[in-house]
Amino acid sequence: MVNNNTALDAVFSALGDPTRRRILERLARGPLTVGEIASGFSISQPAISKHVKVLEESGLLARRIDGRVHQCTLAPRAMETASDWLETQRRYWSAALDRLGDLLTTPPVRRKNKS
Amino acid sequence: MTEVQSPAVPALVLRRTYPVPRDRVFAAWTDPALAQKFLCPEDVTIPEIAMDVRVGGAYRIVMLLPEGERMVVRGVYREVRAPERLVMTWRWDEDDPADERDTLISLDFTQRDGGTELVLTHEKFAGVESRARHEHGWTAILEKLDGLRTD
Repeated sequence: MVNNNTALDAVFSALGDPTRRRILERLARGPLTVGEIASGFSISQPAISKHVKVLEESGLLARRIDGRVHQCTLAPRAMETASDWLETQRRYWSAALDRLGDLLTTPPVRRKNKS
Repeated sequence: MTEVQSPAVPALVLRRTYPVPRDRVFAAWTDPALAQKFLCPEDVTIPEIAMDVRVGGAYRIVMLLPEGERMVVRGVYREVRAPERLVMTWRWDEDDPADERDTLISLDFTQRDGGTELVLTHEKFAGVESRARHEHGWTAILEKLDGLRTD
């Protein structure tokens, strides 16, 4: 289970905030400048900039600086880090839950009551 | 039982129904002799298991992989409500302890049609700690991202 835990932490912690998830949702529809992102929220632009920075550091958002304009796009690869983690857990637990089903149903479990 | 919504942050949610009473399903998770028989994939065995099933109590499970590699997982029970809910942290030992991370497993056991529905949720802590139920779930983001993947 060795993995890039630090990268994973950054992604999950970035996704843990509802404002940041909304920013990602908006970026999923297409690239936006930081100003355009901020215009969709009632909170201040500095606050939005901070969220954008967290997203950028997590790798979920890529920023291209074109003169004075900061163009933001989604970076799907970091999201895949999260999906991969989930997929690993899914495989593990699916197998365990199948085994649990076998254990519970076949053969009629003999329950020794030791206590 | 409340419907399990898609979690606000990325989490694994698995749901199974077993044709046996709820206390038996719950017991499988809290009796080491039973847990030893299923708490790992098919080709893995559990030579050692210890569980102190109470809030704040710890467990430790040693797993043996087919190639002979030994893996240890451990955690602490956060919630123990027989026979309906069990919550525990889940952490794999790593060579470097700095790489170790607590994750969270929640198990909900519900009686349904003469059997038991089990819902397992596995979450990363970074997400759990800042969790806020919100209409903007991560699944929506993932769905939208599907169209953007390039490889």
